Amino acid sequence: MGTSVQVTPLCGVYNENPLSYLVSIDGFNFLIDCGWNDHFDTSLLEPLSRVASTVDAVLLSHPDTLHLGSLPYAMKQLGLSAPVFATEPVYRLGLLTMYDHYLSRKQVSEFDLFTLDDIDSAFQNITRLNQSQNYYMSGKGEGIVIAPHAAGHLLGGTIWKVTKDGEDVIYAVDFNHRKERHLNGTVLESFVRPAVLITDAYNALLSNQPPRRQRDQQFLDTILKTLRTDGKILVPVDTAGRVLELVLILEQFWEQHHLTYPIYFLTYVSSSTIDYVKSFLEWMSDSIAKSFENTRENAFVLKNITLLVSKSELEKVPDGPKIVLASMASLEVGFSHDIFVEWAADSKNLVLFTERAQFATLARMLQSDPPPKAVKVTMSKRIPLVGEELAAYEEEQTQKRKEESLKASLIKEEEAKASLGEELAVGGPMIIDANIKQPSSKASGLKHGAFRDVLIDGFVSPPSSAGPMFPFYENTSEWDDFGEVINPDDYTIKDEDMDQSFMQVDGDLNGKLDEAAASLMLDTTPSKVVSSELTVYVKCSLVYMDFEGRSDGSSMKKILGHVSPLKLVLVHGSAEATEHLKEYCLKNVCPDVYAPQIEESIDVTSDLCAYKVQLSEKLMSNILFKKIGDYEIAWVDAVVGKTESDTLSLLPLSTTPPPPHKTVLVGDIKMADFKQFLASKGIQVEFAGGALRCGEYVTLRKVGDSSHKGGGNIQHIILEGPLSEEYYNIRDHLYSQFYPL
Amino acid sequence: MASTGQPASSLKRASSTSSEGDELIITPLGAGNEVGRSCVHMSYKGKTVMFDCGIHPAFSGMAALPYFDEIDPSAIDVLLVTHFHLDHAASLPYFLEKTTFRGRVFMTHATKAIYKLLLSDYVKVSKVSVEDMLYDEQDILRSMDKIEVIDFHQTLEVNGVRFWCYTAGHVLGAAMFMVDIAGVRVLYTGDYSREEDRHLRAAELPQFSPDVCIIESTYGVQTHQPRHIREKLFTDVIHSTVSQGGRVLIPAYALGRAQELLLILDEYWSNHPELHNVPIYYASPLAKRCMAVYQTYINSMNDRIRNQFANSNPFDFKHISPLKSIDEFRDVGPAVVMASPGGLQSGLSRQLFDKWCSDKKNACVIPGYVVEGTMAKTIINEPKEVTLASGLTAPLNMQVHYISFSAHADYIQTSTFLKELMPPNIILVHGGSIEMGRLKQKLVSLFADGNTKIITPKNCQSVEMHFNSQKTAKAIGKLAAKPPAAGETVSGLLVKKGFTYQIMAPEDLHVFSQLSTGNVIQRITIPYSGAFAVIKHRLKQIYESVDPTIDEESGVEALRVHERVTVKRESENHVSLHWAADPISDMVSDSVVALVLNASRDLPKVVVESEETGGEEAAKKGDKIVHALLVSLFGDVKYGGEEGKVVINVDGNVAHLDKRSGEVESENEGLKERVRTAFRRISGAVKPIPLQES
Repeated sequence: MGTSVQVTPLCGVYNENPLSYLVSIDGFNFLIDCGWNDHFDTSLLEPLSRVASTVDAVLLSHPDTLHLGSLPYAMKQLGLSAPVFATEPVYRLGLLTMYDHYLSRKQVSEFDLFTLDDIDSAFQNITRLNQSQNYYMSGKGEGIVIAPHAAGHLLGGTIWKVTKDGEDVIYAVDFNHRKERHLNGTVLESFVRPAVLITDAYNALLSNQPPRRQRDQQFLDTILKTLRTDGKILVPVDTAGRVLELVLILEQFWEQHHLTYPIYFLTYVSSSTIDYVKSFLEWMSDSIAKSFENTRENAFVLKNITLLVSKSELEKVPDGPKIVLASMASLEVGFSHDIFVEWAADSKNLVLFTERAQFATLARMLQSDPPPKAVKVTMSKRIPLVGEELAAYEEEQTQKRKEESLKASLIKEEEAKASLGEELAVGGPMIIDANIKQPSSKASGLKHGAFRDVLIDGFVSPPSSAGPMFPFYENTSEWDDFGEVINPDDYTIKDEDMDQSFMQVDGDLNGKLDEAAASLMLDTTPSKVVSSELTVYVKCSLVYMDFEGRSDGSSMKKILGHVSPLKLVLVHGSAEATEHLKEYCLKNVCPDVYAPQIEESIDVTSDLCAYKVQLSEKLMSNILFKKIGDYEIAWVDAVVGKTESDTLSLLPLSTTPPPPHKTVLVGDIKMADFKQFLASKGIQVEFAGGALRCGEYVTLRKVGDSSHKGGGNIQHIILEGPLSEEYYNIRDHLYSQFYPL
Repeated sequence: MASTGQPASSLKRASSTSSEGDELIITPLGAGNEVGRSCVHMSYKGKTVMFDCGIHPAFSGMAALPYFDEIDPSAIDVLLVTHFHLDHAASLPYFLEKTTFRGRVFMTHATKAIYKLLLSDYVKVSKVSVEDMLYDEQDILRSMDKIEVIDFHQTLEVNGVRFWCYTAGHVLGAAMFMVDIAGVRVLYTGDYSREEDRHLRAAELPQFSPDVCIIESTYGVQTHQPRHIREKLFTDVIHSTVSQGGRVLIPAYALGRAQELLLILDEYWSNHPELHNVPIYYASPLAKRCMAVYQTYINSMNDRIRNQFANSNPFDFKHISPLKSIDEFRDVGPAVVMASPGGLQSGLSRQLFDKWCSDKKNACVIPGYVVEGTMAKTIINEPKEVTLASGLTAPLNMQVHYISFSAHADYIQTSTFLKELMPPNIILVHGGSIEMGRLKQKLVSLFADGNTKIITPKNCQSVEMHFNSQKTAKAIGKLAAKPPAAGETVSGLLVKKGFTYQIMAPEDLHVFSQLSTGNVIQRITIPYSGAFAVIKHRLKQIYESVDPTIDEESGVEALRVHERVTVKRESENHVSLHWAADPISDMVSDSVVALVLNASRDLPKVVVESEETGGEEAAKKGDKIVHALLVSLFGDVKYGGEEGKVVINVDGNVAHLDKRSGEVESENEGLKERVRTAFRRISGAVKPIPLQES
């Protein structure tokens, strides 16, 4: 029987919410993606919180919040503790994305869902894999192999292939088949007939993407029009995803057209983003790799784009036409939000959206048609505390510290009590330790200051605290015939000073944070957030252009038709899009299409029956294979036998004549190709009324559509004609297209 | 299982005839009992893989190439290059451009980037005549288009050969390749180092034990000093020399170890502010060009570098500056200069050496393996005097230190690596025959207990190994609805892709593969204006099964012949035949066509016999004919006692024939067989073709 596979969506079905799905393969639970939206809405994570502790491994597909945003929170608060797998760029850029989000949030609110440390510790759990690396799971997941494959869309973006017992489960969301400037297209099409394919319906209704060249030209024209009329352009972007493509496009245009308008890339982590991206050439498109090999010029060494990490730097640059790429794409928080508020009122300016914003965000509102004339926004700012507030804050802090120390001492007391109690219980021979080298954890019990404080506070001294003897510490040193046993390691001097310096380096933050960000983070001066609500009149022009880098509906359908999984699961996409794609796939891809609801567990265990047999040498020596494309194929008649190790094996039949079987014609004939073929043989051919007229009298028709692969039909070709030499001639040509077995 | 001593000339034959063979044949075309021109050829089950494609640095022209004449380059499926060093990659442009090789070439990203720079430089500096040139700059550029890249651990498959690579240490981008052909795994280490250094990871231990391990043996049984001791020695020598006002010359090959030494120096300088006024130069244009590659492929390096990268690129040196030529160099005080070539043969390193060798304050640190016959090798022995490039002699007063930073595995690394891998077959390459022999001795005693075979083939000496590969197939789909018990028969399509086999029902073919099955339905019309009954009658004489049916569409009379072909009266003047194509149906239809044509030609003469001949009468008539024919054959033929039994007596031998079942009983085997055959032929001729024999 096949491998058991269950899919349970935790978030992101029948809508455009973040993605998170539980895929269980023979009882091993994979959490594939754990996304969050830009609002960090905890209610979205409820389904995840119910299953987080049962997850055995987490797979991440793309380095943006929609695919990995909730990882730190889930690790800290929801009890998720499984190992995480991602590609190197997803790890690195995902980390930077989370930093950027945190810092943007922290700037304008008392954000407390997770901290930078939580992000760091969550990402430390990630095992980084290379493209097409087969990773063999161990322990509970023995026998499962996972492999990331290129998905396009974002740098490092992954299609996950999970294999067990030769059956593939493929998770492919947000893929892009088109080659872009910085990325190759997806390799999804190279997988054929997987047992299960999980994919999204996000773009199912979108079709007719303009050709890249045309779109780029439009983009350039729009930008230049604004710049030439002295306008400023704001492009709200993500932190380290699609922005890379935009950066390359702009860089290239500026280079080609010798433009001098300044371009700024403003996020809290922009310079480290670009630094890292420079080292990810292995993951980028062939053309970028080739140009580096030939000229050693890294495409991400930016000559025309200035990287900024704080808004004050932007304020320093002279006023005038410019382009600013700023995070977040949602305009909800971050630099883009602030800049939008400043620039929106000027009709010369332009806000250029390059992707559909998340649901219920400011950007989404502005993308609606017609755009709102005015929007209400909340301006928040973190300002240092002064005067009374500062005094109040300090008081509060001291209070807090006191409480903490109280608590700590209470705990210590408890510990001391416990340890004393222990000692009393042990009560071994009384040896007084001469060298007073107590283990540090116990030493805390001796700090009488704190200890006494509590006792004085009117508590009855606990009975065990007044022991019948002086505090006694067991001597942990061992003795032998020659005296105390020493551990030579304690005395060796670490001569690898190199590693120490490395430790220092590591000590000041794992990921590089830019100065401003670091200052914000390390800034301990008391501050508070003040908010004010104001109405912004949107006079600037708003333009949306599709630079999302996802395959459109018609290409998706084509790819799905090509991959033609045995079972298909649809997730992520509006209800209409999901329904539309489901209907299409039922008709054209395979009969088993599922679109589960949240927390609806569907069983996509393949109803495939399979067993393994050994092919004996005797049998194989009698088989003549016919080669068809990548395949070699033969008819086999054999008798089942058992080997010593009790596995089934196939032996040649003992009776000489094999049982008759119906002849199988193997081959896929395309009418158009066959027409060409006949024409090349000097036969007049033309299509007439759905049939192929060959020569004078013979017609060839095909019934049953072969595109519907899952349906289990065999293509029928009808050859009709009067008795004539031509008939047999054409029949011979037709037969030549097949391999009879 | 393994044998050496195969005559070299047999290889060509072997590679062409081994298409179905289970023999794994491994032949070093270079680096067999020598160092240089690494190239190992391997074939198994009709697939051919070649590892590395180097030149021998001690020879020039064609003599430097591996023995390519021994193989058929066009038969090679995949060529895998482990790293960019000349003795592993430099004959690649020749092999790609000047031979019949048509396979695919793979190397890692970093290797490819440096390969081009290194070989362009090699072509420029090699001082050979134009005829001796193996290739030119253009060939290198063209070869770049053919080389494909592979990332570490990325699994690729070409023509059924699966392969992936592991980190090898040694130099940036160096890889060890694991090749899997039909379940037999071969690991080729190339040059590797199991010791992590300042920027490279140590060679990984593969997850799976290979069946064959082809491993380098450069250092044989020698062992290295611990790295931190060597580093301390290195920095101490330099520190003391410059603090006493001396100059330090480090002759080093431009790529590989040089970067490691620069990292050491840059870090040492950072930690010692008192040295900041002492400049460090690296004088190699090639190294400068390759720096961009080092700055980019950070992800191929170790975690240390990657973590440092979080703060700043460690290859952006703070205390080291490049030096274009000696003219730029102002020799005014203490300095550290790293210059190529490493052997002090000529060039900048030699110029500086000549200038500095007489001052005893100065020092020369030789950081790696030095080749026999070079000045560097000479001064290691600390002679009193040396000959300068100008031909004059000068006293050698400068201190000479030899501190090896060579990133090859030593004996300890090799033995632990092999001990952990436990490959059943070990093939030693890339080592001098003496070192290799010693290593073999030691390894033999190390693996004394097991069945490990250690082989040290010479160039062109083939190693043959036999692997019993058990082929397993997976039966899937309808065919596998229930696992069969022993003794049952299984019939279906056996589909082979790469080295995996599947058995399936024909209906499932399109489900589990990209192939599909077709069905050709034929309909042919034949002019015929006679009576349909004539056709029916004649068909009945030939075929046992002729069922009259009514065509559903038109309601006309039709006949189903042999359960395959439908004959239908289309109109007054036509009949039509309708069948699904397969060889037997085609034959039946052909006979029907012939019959119809005959019938229509014979039309006037035909006398339709009474339809009501009755089954019994017809059977009797048939019986008579059979009997008559048997008599004509055997003479004495009598009816036996039972119904339908005949007794045949030939020269005293008696055979009993049952005419209904066709069974014959006789004491005489010869007669029995003859009677049986005769009866079969007679019935074939007299009776209509029965249905079940189709």
